[in-house]
Amino acid sequence: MSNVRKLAMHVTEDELSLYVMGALGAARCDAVEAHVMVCEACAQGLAREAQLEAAFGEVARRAIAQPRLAGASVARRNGRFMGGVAGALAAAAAIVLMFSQTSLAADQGPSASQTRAGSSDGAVGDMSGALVGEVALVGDVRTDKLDGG
Amino acid sequence: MALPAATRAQPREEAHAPARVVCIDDKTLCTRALGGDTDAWSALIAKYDHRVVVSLLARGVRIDRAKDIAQEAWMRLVEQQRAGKLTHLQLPGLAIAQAAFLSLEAARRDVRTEAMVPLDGDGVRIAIDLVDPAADAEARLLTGERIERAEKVLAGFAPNARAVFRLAYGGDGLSHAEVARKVGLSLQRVRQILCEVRKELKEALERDAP
Repeated sequence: MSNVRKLAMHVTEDELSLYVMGALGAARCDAVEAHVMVCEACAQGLAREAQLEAAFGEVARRAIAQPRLAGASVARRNGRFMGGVAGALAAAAAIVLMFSQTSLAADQGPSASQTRAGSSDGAVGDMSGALVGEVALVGDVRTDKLDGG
Repeated sequence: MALPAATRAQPREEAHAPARVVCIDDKTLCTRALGGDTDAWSALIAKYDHRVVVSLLARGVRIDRAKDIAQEAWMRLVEQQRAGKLTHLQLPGLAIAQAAFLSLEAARRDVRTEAMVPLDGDGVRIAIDLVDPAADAEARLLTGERIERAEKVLAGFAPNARAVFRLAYGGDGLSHAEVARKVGLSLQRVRQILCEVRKELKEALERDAP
């Protein structure tokens, strides 16, 4: 193939990307290498793609380092959130209990109302668990791109 | 000096490591290479040579020269191992660093050669400060703002895609085939994901601030 012919067929950006990724077939790989030897524009494009590889490495390293930090902050946020929810539910339960105590006290006596209060606390705990699950689910749904599979 | 067979740049996935060592993990391969196992060296070179070449391309080195320098870098590492001077082998980092050193050394040689050429009849010589051409371009791409922008774009992808990207670029040196095995996807799907993530991150990294 003459140099003129090689120059006429520029390498596409996608092919340059595939080349630096090491994902180009052997034959096409040779063709890209032969072309960039004689085409300054494509050689610069290749250098650019190679520089991006280094930048992607930095992005990936930061992404690896961050989930732990992000996870910790989400846990803290969830902790605060759950604390608030638990408090609100406890307050609501207390109000309900106040009414139930007044109605039940007449029928069943004080010991029965104490038992009911205990089970209400348990219900608050269970609901907190359900809310944790919901928060996690919302986190997964938010990322809607490219769920590989 | 006789070198392990696979010392020429080959695409990562097309590289053919010796069959006996192809499924062995990197740690074992490095240990064996440090012990002088030629097959282990060949497997490591086949796996990482393309990355070394790409690191040189990023420094603005021409493809033919990049391949030669990469080969020289591997040769130096093998020589150091044979001379008992290599106690640790962390790849591809060590080979990339060796290649970067060699490319700078070659650039210095070129500058010195040019400096010896008189510019005029009075024998005035040129004085050039050696500048690494890759430094500026990389620094521009790696500004905090651009990286943060790319991180935000990456965060918008599904967990699977993020995992594939982190494994492929995160410094563990995994090939696309290894990433595919690790995440339980096909090689084709892994590459498809990488191409799509790469495209958006590239846009984020190259976009100038508004």
